[in-house]
Amino acid sequence: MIAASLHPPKGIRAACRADWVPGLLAALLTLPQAIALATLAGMPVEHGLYLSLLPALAATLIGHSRVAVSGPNTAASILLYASAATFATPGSAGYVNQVLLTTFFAAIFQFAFYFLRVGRLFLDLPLSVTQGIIAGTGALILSQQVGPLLGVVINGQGPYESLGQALAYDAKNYWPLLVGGTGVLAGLWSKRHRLGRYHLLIALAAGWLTADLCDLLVGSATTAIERLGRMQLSLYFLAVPSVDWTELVALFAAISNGLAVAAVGSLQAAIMARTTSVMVGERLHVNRDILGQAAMNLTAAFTSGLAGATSFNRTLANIETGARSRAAGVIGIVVLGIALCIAQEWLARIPLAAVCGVLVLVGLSLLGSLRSIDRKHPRRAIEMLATIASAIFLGLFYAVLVGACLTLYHRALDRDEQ
Amino acid sequence: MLLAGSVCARDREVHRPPLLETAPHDKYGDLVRMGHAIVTDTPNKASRYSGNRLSCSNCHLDAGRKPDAAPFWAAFVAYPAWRSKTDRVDTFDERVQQCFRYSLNGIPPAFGSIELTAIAAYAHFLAHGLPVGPESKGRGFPLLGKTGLDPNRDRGRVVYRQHCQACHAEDGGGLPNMPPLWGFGSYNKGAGMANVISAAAFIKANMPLGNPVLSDQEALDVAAYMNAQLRPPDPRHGLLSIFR
Repeated sequence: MIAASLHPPKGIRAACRADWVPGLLAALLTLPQAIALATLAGMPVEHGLYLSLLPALAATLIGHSRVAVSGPNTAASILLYASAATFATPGSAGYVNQVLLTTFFAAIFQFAFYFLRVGRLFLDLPLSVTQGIIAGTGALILSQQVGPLLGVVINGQGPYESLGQALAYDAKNYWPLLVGGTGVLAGLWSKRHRLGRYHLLIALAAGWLTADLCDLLVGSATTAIERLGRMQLSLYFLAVPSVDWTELVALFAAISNGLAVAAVGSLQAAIMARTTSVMVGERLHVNRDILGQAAMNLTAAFTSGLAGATSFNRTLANIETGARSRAAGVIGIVVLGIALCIAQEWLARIPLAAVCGVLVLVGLSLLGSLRSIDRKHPRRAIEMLATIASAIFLGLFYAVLVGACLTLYHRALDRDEQ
Repeated sequence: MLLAGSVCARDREVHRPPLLETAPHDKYGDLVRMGHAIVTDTPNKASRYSGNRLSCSNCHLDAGRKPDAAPFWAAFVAYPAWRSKTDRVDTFDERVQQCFRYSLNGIPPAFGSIELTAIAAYAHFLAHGLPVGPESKGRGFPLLGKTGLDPNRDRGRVVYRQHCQACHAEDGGGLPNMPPLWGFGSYNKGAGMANVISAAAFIKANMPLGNPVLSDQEALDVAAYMNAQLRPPDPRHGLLSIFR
C-alpha cells in the first residue's frame, strides 16, 4: 500500500520534479509553526519538530489524501496544554510525559474511530459549507498575521479580539510589516509573471532578504525583527509514555483529553479532506485519513512528539504551489530533517515576519473562494456566509455544525416548497 | 514617613538571597531551578536565543546572588524603571531581553517563552524578603571615584597580562569554563560591559575572581584595553549610522 502510494503513475522522478517546490515550502513553513505550536502546547520547542518528522511521515503515507500536510496543529496544541498544565510545570519532564500519554490515548481513540467508520459522517457535508470553511479559514489565517506583523505578541485569542488587540497596541513596530509586506508584494508580482508555482517561496525569500537588509542598514536592535532561533535536536528521541499509578487522576485526564484531541483531529482531517476534494478533485475517503491521523499520533507518542492534526494553512500552501502527490509531503519531511542537521545556523535566521507574509498570501487565495458564491440560489449563499461568519466568530468546528444544521433546514424547506 | 522609609533602605543590611535548595518542590520551584540552570549554562540551556559563549553568571556572579556584581534580586525589585539606553520605562522581562540582545549577542527570547519566564521566576525567588524599590544595597556595580587620569589602553595591557591573562587567555578568548572577553564569542558593542566606566566598576569590585586587588585606575585602564579589542558590532547601529 505504501509503496503503491509513493509510486505515482509517471514514476518517482516525474513526481519529484513536480513536487520539489511544494516540498521545500512545506519544510520552511513547518519549521516556525512547529516551534510556535509546541510552545502553545507548553512543550519544549524541539518536540514540535519531532512531530513534524517521523509521525508526519506516517500520516502522509497512510492517510488517503495525497496533498494533506499533517503535523503540529493549533487546536490539538491548545487541548494538550489544558490536559497537562494541571499536573506539571510546562516544559518539565513530568509535563512531557503527560502530553505523550494524552497523545497515546488520542491515537487509540482515533483507531477506534477508524474501525467504527466515523468518517462516513462527513461524506454528506454540502459544497456551500465546504466553500464557506475555505473562505473562513482564509479570514482566520489573515487575522492571525496582523499581530506578528505589527510586532505585537498575542496569546490564544479569537480572531476579532486579537485583531483589536493588535491594532490598539501603542508600541507598534512597523519593520516586520515592511518585511512581510515586501514578501506579499513579491509573491503577488511573481504570480503574475509566470512564476506562479514558486510565488510562496519567492515571497519567503524576498521577506528574508528585506529583513537582513534592514538589519544591516539600521541594526537589529532598531528593527527588532523576530528571528526563529536555534534548535537542539537529540538523536535519543525515542520515548515510552509512563503511567504513574499513584496518580490516577492524571491518567484519567490523559484519557479524557486524548478523546478530545482525537475528536478534534478527526474533524480537522474530515474538513480538510472535504476541502481538498473540492480544490484538487480527490476522491473522498475520510476514514482512511483518520487512520493516517491515528498512525501519526501513535508514532508521536513513542518518538517524543505531541499530538497533531492536519494543518489547514500548510495543506493549502501545498496545493497553491502545485503539489500533485504524496511525494511533496515526503520531500518536505526529508528536506526538513536534512536542513535541521546541516543548516541550523542558517535556519535560525528565518524572520517570523517573512513567514507571516507567506501565510497572508495563502489566506488571500483562500478568501478567493468567495467568488464561487452561488448568486442564483440565495439559500446556498446564506449557508456559505453563515459558515464563514461562524468560522470567524465561533471557530471552525462550530462552523461545520452551523453550516450542516442550516443546510438540513434549507433542504427541508426546499422539499416543503416542492 | 516616606523619608524614614528611604533612610531605612540605605542603612539596611545587604540582602541575603535564599539558597536554591530551599526552593519549593512545586511548579514554581521547577521554574526557579530551570532559571538557575539557564543562568549558569546559557549557551546550552537557552541555546535557542544565546549568541555567544557567555553565560548570565559570567557577569552576574555566583549565579546572580553576589552583591556588587549586578545581583538578580536587586534588579528584580528595581524594575519597571526608566533606562537612558532605551529612553522609556522597561519591565524586568524587557531588561532580560536586552541582556540576550547585547551581552549574549543573540536573539531576545519572546515574551512568555519558557526561558524568559524561568529567569524571571529565579530572580523573583532570590528577591524573597527584599522590599520593592531601586535602592537595594549591593545593586549593580559600585561606582568608581574620580582618579584624575584618563583610562589608558597601554597601561591596561600591562595590567591584563599581570592579572587577567591566566584565566581569560592572551587573545581574550577565554579558556574552557572561563568567559571570553573579546572576539566573536563575547558580548557586542551595545552591551553594558562595552562601556568602560561600567566595565571598570565591575572589574574593581570583582576581578580577579575571589581576590579583587586592582586599584580604581588599574580597573579603568584594563577596561579600556579590553573594550578596544575586536567584538561583534552594536545591533542598534547599521551601515546607515555612518551618515549620522
